[in-house]
Amino acid sequence: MTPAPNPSPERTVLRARARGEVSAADSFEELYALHSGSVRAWLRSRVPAATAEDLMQDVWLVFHDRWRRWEFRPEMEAEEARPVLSFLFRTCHFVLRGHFRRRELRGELPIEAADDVDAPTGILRMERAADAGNALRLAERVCTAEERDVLLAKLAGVPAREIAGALGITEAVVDHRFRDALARLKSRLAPKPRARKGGGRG
Amino acid sequence: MAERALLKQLEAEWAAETRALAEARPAFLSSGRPPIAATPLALAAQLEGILERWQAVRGSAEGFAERYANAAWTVKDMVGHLATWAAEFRRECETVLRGEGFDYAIPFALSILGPNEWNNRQAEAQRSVPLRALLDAFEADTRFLQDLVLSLPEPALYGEARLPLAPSGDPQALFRGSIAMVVLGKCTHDAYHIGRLAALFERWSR
Repeated sequence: MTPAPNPSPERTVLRARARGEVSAADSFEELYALHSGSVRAWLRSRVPAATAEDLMQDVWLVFHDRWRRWEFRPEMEAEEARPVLSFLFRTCHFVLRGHFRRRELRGELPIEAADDVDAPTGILRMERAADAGNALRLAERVCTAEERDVLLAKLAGVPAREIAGALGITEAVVDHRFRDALARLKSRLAPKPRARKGGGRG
Repeated sequence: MAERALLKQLEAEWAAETRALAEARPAFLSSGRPPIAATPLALAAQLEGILERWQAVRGSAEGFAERYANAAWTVKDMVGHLATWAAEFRRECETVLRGEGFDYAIPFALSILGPNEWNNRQAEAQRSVPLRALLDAFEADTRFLQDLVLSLPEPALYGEARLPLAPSGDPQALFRGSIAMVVLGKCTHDAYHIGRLAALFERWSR
C-alpha cells in the first residue's frame, strides 16, 4: 500500500484553522512565515527593494483582511491546490498593477514603459548576486518580465490555472512562457564547446 | 544542460532564496494600530479582485438573467443592485470631494443586512435598463473608484465626512466616514453578492 503523501505545510495550517485548532491570528503568522519569502521575491523581481517592501505590506494587509473571512471550500483540499499561495500571487500582481497605474496617473511614466522604468532589484539577495552559474540570477538577465512572472510562480508551487487567472492569460500561454524561460536558461547554461588549439585558420 | 537537472537547480536556488527572504511577522502587526486594508494600493488591489470576479460571472449573468436568485429578485435585479450601489458609492465619493453635503439618507430601516426599502426602490428603477448596460456601468464605476483611490492625496482619502448611510434607521443620524471607508464598504458589499452569484451559477451549471 502506498503511503499517503505528506500534506503541504500550507494545507496543514488551513486544516488546523478550519477545525478551529488554531486562531486566525496565529495561523496568519504561520502563513506569513511560510510565504513571505516568495511574496518578497516576486515583488523584487519587478520593483526596487524599497518599493517591494512597501508593496509587501499592502499585499499582506489584503490577505490579513481576507484571512479573517476565509472560506474553506472542498476544492481547496485537492493535492495540488495552494489557495493561500495563489491568493497571494494574485494580490501581488493586483498591487503591482496599482503601483504602476498610480505612477502613470501621477505622470511619472508612460503606460508602456511601466516595467522598464521601475528597475527591479532582483530576486536574489545582493550578497549572492555574484554567484556564477546561478540559474535564478541568469533568469533575471535573459528572461522577459512575463516569463519570469511565470517561472517564479511555478517555482513557488502556484498551480498553472491560478497563474493564468492572475496574469490574465490562458494556461497554454503559461506553459509556453515557462518552456521559453527554461529553453533560454538551458541554452545559456550549456557548457560552451572548447575552441580548438591554434585557431581555425590552419 | 538537461531540463530535469535545470529544474532541480532552479528549485533548490528558489528554496534557498525564499528562505533567506522570509521573516516571522509583518511590520503592520507591530505598529500598534489595527491592520485595515485601506491603503491606496490595498484598496485598488481589492477592487481589482472584484473586477476579476465580476469578469468570471459576467457571462453566466447574461445566460441566467431571468432566473430568480432569491424569492424576490432575478439575476438581472441582482446585477442592477450591484450597479446601483456602484453608482451610489461613486456619487458619495464625488460629493465628499466637492465638499458638499447630502440631501438624502439611506436608512437601514429594520433590516439587519442593509437598507431594504431603498434597495427595493432602486431595483424597481433599474428594471427597464438593459442588462448589458448594467454590467458595463458596474465595471466603469468600479474602475473610476480604483483610479480615484490611486490618485487622491491622503487627507482627501482619509478625511471624515457625513455620508448618507443611516445604519440606525434614523435619517437624521448619518454615518461619518471617509472615502477610503466607502471604498472598503463597496469591496465587502460586492464580494458578498458576486460570491453569492458565483455559487448560484455553479449550482445551476451542474
